[in-house]
Amino acid sequence: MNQYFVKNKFSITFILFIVISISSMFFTTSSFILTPKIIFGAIAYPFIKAYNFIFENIINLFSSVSELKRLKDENIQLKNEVNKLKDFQFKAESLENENRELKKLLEFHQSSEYKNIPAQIIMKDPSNLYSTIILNKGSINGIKKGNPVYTILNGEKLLVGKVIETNYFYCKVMTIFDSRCLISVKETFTNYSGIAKGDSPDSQLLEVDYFPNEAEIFYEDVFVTAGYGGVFPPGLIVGKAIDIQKQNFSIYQKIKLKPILDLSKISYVLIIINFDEVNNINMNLKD
Amino acid sequence: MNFKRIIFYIFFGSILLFIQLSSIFNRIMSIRNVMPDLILVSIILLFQIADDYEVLIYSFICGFLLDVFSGNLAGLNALTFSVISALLFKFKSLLYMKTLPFYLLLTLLSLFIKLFIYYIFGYIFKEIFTLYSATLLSYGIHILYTLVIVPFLYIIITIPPVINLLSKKMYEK
Repeated sequence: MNQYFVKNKFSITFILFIVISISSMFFTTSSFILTPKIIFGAIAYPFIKAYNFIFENIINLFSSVSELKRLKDENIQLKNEVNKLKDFQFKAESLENENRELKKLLEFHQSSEYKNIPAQIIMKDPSNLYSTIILNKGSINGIKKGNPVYTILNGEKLLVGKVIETNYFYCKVMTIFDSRCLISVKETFTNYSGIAKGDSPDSQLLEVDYFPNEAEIFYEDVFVTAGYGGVFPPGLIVGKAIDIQKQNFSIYQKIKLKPILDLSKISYVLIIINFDEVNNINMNLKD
Repeated sequence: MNFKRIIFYIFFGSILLFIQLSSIFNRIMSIRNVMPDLILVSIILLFQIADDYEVLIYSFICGFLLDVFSGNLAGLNALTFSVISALLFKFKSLLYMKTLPFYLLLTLLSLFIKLFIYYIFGYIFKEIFTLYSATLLSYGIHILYTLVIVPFLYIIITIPPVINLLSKKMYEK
């Protein structure tokens, strides 16, 4: 028996690996708590975190030398901007106080705020078949499946996607580029809404379906999340219209959006961890 | 198995996996968001130098880790790399030329086998899992980019200390 194994160890191991691989594919969609994916993920995560730390520091060291001059100029520019902003801040504070007092007078309900957790993008799907990213925050930090993810770029809140899988130390996010990610969107001027979905891997654009034909949309009109369905909070920017096709014999028009979000340019995102709770509170308030 | 060899496989495999998966290298290296298949190239190159059985284990573990941290169907890359290792083992007697153009040809064939397996399992699991057909352009870039990487990994793997560590004759001694 022992000799048989030694003689055929390659074939036996190969068959074993095939069985593990195929059963793992079935496990992927099952409801088992400890799937091979989770076990492997938990073992490999510390190594990935260590490599990420080392390489990021090395790359930062080289880039910081070349960026010194640029930072100097930027510093002067920013100082000027700070002075301007201080003036604005003073005006904004007085307006905020005035607004609060007026709200009190009108007895407006203050809607609850979302609780965000910042996370770093540590990995990206290399196959380009899916548009998924991996963040360094997991269920241990309170991340749950379905949590919306967004980022702030130039002062604007941009939708990134939603959490589709959580491990103890990391989570997987399906981005807006993924064709499985359906987003209820509305145009900011007309308030007409539709369903946007990714076009990945064919392109980095989004397609808007079920958008009424009577709505007048123009090039570069901004689409934001509508907040319907309780999947994403309202008001997060999704993209700008770059292709509008009115259909003669349909009640819907076809729109293509170019997302402002560029995953290659962002390293950090924000995960909303209490979206469900806030959503429920707001629904109750409306009722 | 020699302890030094185990360390080499862990170190080499994890570095390649990290390069292929990390967002840092994705920003620097990717062409139109496409990364080369470093693990596949390493399997082909290692197969000519190292022990077949060790390379099979290496390919399965690397494939599985790639699955864990990328797409959704866990086991697809593990299966693909294991099958490629088994095919290399099966046709080993034919693979006697150890030159760079030959490795390039072998990589090209392996990439087609990989895409074939991807499609087969994408079809089998289509009810519970949707495998999107990437554009011809994306696949074209992926194949060409992987072929460009072959000479670089060839240089790394054929440096004398690595060959000495992994060569079967040394191992047998």
